[in-house]
Amino acid sequence: MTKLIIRRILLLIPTMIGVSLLIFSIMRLLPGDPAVLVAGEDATPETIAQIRREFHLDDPFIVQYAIFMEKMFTGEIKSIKTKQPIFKELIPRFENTLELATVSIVIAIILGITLGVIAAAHRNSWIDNIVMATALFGVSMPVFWLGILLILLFSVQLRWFPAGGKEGFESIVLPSLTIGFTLMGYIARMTRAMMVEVLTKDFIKTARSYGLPRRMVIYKYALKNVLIPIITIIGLQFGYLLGGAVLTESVFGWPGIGRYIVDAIFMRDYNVVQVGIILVAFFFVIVNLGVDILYMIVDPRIRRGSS
Amino acid sequence: MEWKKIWKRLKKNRFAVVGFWIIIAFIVMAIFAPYIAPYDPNEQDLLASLQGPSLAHPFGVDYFGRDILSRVIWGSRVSLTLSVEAVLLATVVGTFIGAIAGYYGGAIDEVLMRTMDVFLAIPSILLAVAIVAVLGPSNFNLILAISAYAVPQFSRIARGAVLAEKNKEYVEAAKSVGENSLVIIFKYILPNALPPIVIQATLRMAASIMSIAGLGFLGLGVQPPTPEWGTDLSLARTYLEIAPHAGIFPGLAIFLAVMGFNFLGDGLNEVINPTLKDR
Repeated sequence: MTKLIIRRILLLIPTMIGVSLLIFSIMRLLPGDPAVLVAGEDATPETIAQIRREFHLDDPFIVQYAIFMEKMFTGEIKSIKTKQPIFKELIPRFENTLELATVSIVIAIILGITLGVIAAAHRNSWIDNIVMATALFGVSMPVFWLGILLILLFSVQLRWFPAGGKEGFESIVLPSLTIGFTLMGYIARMTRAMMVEVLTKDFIKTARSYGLPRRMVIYKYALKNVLIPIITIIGLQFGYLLGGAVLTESVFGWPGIGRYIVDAIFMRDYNVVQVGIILVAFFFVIVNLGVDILYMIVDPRIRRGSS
Repeated sequence: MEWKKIWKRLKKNRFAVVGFWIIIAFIVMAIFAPYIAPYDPNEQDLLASLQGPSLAHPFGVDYFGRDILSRVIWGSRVSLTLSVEAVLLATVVGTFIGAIAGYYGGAIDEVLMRTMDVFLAIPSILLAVAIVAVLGPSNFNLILAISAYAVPQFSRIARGAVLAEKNKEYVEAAKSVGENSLVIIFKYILPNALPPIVIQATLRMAASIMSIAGLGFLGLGVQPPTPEWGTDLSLARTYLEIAPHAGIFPGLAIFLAVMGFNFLGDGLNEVINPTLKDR
């Protein structure tokens, strides 16, 4: 198993080089001279030439890439627009996203696992049908529309929570509910499917035949056995949220990393886009790897199978 | 399993049937938009700006005085066409890459699949935003941006199917009579991978409709004045306090269209992979 984990960790290196090369190439295709964008339309040719030198815009692609990577690793890399070190702007944004993602995923877990277990326990009844329909609604719900609906109800009508921004506890309620509800569907469906499978297993029947109460068998023995696959799906969703919450961040004006990157794309700020996407992708693959390793450690079948 | 059998079982799956009819309704709307829509979707009646739902305008009027019902109907044409094109592109390219990787194995497999991993490492919406921002929001670029993330998923499925089949006797037999490798892959092996690819394509339709609307909402999708649900929603977001109706109907259309394809895709999955089937 150790071998397998080491291989997976080593594979991160080509993946990350690939991501950085891909995003670096995409950004080079941008129309327009970034030096002109920085200097303004009426800058003298000398100023533009100087900026081109400063940002190494005349060097060959691979040299530009090497310089960029070096500056990123030393943390010197600066935003083309604000001239500030990128990490100084980016880290607080990333923390905001992390905060939103964490609260959202907690909501999704509580709702999702509860609904999934209830549906499985009442399989094929009307309760099951209603719960599963709700889960499917969640999966099909566009986050930005749900966000708008929640704003209409809780900000415009009831005036309970602010419609946007990030000030105090109240401001995180609507965005995290929005994301939480859409993610809840995946977790509920997974939980139900796994629970249904586990509930037909012999050890559950044995536990029941010993006269243990149904409720206890479901929550204590069956649920314990389905937690691993559920953790996997939660991990994947969490990794995705670190960059993929752009839409929710836009609806609610949440100052997170997704919106920071999208704003930078609009402003043609190469450096911010590159560093931002590389960072998001890095966390995404790290979270995925962490989940896979956890899975391997916890599931004895995989552990034995590979050793 | 033959398709006839799949169809027969699918008809018994409630969710799949609902999904199927929702999809049919949207297809009908898309094809007959000019005949169904009560108004020209771009006709502006500035005096009616932001008017709520009424008999003349059942879904109300948007900021520019355009009939929202007509825009929602026309919007289905834009969303469905772009999604179908994006999914077709991703299916063809992804299946091709995956089949080649699985069939030849070794270094080719490693290089192709690691390249696919790179695309999967960037959240789909960010990748799409970057591509559209750089190339410009034309319809072709939108299709490219949306399919970029779906290609790796199809390639994984096709690769898996080829790996499962390539050592079977009929493949060996085809090889021994000197059949061309590409003929073996596409004529003999891939038809066996069709069911999982069809499931994936159906679910991808849902994801594509969502992505197109998402890009539109960020201002990077189909450009105004073309009626598109996501773009219309982002306009409505600005006037939510005065005109809540404008923020409801385009979103409802996205939700229903996405749900239709999710229901059908799920139903297909349950019918084709009986392990998941427990209803």
